[in-house]
Amino acid sequence: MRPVRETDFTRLHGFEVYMVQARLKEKSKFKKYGSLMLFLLPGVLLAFVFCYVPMAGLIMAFKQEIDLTTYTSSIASIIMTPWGGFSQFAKLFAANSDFLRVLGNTLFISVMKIVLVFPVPIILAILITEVKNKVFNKAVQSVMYLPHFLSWAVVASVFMTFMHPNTGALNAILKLFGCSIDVSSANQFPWIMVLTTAWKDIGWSAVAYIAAILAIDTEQYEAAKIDGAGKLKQIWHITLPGIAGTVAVLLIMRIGYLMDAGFEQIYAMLTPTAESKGEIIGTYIYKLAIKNGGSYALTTAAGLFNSVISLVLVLGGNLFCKKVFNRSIW
Amino acid sequence: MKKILTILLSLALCLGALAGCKFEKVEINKINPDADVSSKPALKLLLPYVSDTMESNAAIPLINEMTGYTVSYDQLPTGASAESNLTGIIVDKKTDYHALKLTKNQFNKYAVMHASFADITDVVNSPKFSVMKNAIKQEAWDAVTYNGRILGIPDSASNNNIDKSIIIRKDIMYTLTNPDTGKKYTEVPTTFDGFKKLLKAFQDSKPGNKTAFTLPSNIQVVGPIAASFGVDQEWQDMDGELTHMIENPGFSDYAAAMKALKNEGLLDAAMQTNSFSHCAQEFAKGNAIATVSNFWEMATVSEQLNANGGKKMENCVDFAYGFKDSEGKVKTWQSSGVSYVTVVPNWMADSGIHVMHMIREKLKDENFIRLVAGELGTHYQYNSITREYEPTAQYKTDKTSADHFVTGTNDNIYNTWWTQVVIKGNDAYYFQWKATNTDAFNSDDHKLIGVLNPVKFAPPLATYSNRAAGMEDYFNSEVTKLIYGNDSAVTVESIRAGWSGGDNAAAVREIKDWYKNK
Repeated sequence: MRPVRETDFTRLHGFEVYMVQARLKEKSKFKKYGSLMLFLLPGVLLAFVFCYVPMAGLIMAFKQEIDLTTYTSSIASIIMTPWGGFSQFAKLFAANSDFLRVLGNTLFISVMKIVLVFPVPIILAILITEVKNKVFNKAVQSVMYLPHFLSWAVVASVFMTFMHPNTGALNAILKLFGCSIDVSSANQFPWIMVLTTAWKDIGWSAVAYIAAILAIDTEQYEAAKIDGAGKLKQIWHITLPGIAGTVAVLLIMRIGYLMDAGFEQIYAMLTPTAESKGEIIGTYIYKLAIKNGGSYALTTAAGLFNSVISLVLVLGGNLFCKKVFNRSIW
Repeated sequence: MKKILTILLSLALCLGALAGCKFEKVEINKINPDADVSSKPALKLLLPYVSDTMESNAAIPLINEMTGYTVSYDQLPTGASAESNLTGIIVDKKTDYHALKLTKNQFNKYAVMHASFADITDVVNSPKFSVMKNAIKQEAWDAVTYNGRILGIPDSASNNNIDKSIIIRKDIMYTLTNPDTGKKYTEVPTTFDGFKKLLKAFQDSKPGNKTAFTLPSNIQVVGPIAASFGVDQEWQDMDGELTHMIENPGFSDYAAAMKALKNEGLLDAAMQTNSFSHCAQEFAKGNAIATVSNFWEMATVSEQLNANGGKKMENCVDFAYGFKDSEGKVKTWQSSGVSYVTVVPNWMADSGIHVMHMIREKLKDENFIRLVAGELGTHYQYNSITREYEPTAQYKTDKTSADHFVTGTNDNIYNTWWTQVVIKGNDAYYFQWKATNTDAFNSDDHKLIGVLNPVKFAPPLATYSNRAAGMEDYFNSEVTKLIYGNDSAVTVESIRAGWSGGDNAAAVREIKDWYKNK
């Protein structure tokens, strides 16, 4: 064994000194900004009450069927229900279960929404900020934000009317070109979901990118102009790198929602003949929970599975952004 | 140290939350018929959705006056969120509703849970409440009894109505030539083949038309057509056994016939995206010669006809209420059973006796007539020629939604008053109802036979009540795929296997055993 040398002690001692200094710094920072930290409190409390406390309910996934009226409180009813191990998960993935098909549909629709819809607001934001006519600019922005504030129930009803196979205005136009759109077609349904999402949300999603673009120092553009860079080169070398951080953060957050392909949207528009390619985890769980007599244990198991996959995806997305763009959330 | 403190604090919070829970098993509370009711507290009732103007309904002050209780009302939202709201109320066990008016399916679902509703058996059997017991028929009481306990006050269907009928644009039909006779049509076809020929004649008169027969998305099985193939009801007795339509050999023929209509372009292929108002619009515009309407939907049809050139329903609409089956009989599906149940939540049992007194007062003959029909001279008059009562204009103002406030039906008199006053209160409803519920039954050459669904009077059943909604949803979804889709894997056999297999097998066995042993 190597004998302990004086230098080792110094190194260790030095590290301890560094740690003590860091803690003092933290304390003094807390003292200095303590009052500002109070602003965090409502958000932290909300997250604690609505995101962390309900996690206790996940034990339902490992219970047998639960009757919430058995005990005076629902929590007591859950706790006192006998454990069921992984039986609910086994049921979920049983050979005759639709869960795997539904999982595939969810991932397909979500990935398509990311691949096809995610870049559109970036392009839109660049185009909007390049327009120098302020009135036109504001008018375009307002019109594009508007659909975001409509509920999916309203949007679905409008689109169903427009796309009605016999009387829809959209189909009347498409028929002139020898094609048609049918929401009850299984093959068309996922693409209709992607398109309607784009229509509803791109304007709103562009807000963050517009803000990021406006925060870029204008001197960079002036310098680039002097160096002879055209519009495209300015966008490529200044705008896109300037908003890369925002893009990375929003992409990671979007990946976190990969398992949520849009419950409200799909619930409002799904028809039986489109189910084979249109039913997603959200609508499947809803069907199990509400229509099949409220199987709390089974639906919690499905929800837990959903959440674990989402967590893995967020961590993976963060790692990917760190490696590729050198940007990440943490 | 900080981490340890955080963990300890979290543990303390969790233990604190658990300590706050009562680990006390809930007992089903009985309502004591002899409890003191000298003071009359204000009561709060939760109803299914009534309307946005529910608070101004004329029934509210009337009920307060006749019962001596001041009753306030909340309503569940429309649509799917009603179910989640109701589940929250039942499992929360804290809301202060003295009574809940539920649909029969909702009642069945919660009645089989450990302790959702208070036991009112002693009240119903008490001589003090004989008025209530005698007002409601025994089969309705049986339908709300679970494990020997009566758990609610039933509302039976007002009448065993023929709700649905195929409606035909007779003004268009008269312009078409019947291929069998070579002459213009003069009456509605009496067989399914004749109906199909009428659709074809209409389609030929409008080249490219593919909506001759249009249906809304909630009609998967058309009763009058299904009955002509031997599918007389959703559930029917076949050789002494309770049989669901998917198990009925005639269902394959029905599905094949509907698929053929769709493939030939006679049945609107866009059914899944059609609302009833869309169908009524197509019917009124003359793009469809036939659709299916409930009698309470005739008002929409009438409005649409009026909006399309001021047409009158009397001049445009006729009814194909049923087609002859292989034996020459004309059958169709007739509605019956318990539609709503008023319950006292188990946690509100202490004040439940007041709800029972309030309902008993409403069920007394004179009060019940006032509630549903109103006052003689004001809301209805006696016609000495027809020897029947008839609603006045005031009835239409005050009474058209009074049925929402009924909590238990007086079955001894409801049918009479409903058929003499209530149904006549709306001209459009009555137009269809009369044609399919009186004229059709009295027809000499096309006499209608209504077939009842025995399951409509089934009590809550532990397994079936939990699975019924899911099974129905599965059936409807698969039948839609079978008729309107192109998936060759969906067949009558595959639907039958999925409907009665897996976890549903026990539910099917249970409902069949109930019927066999009842």
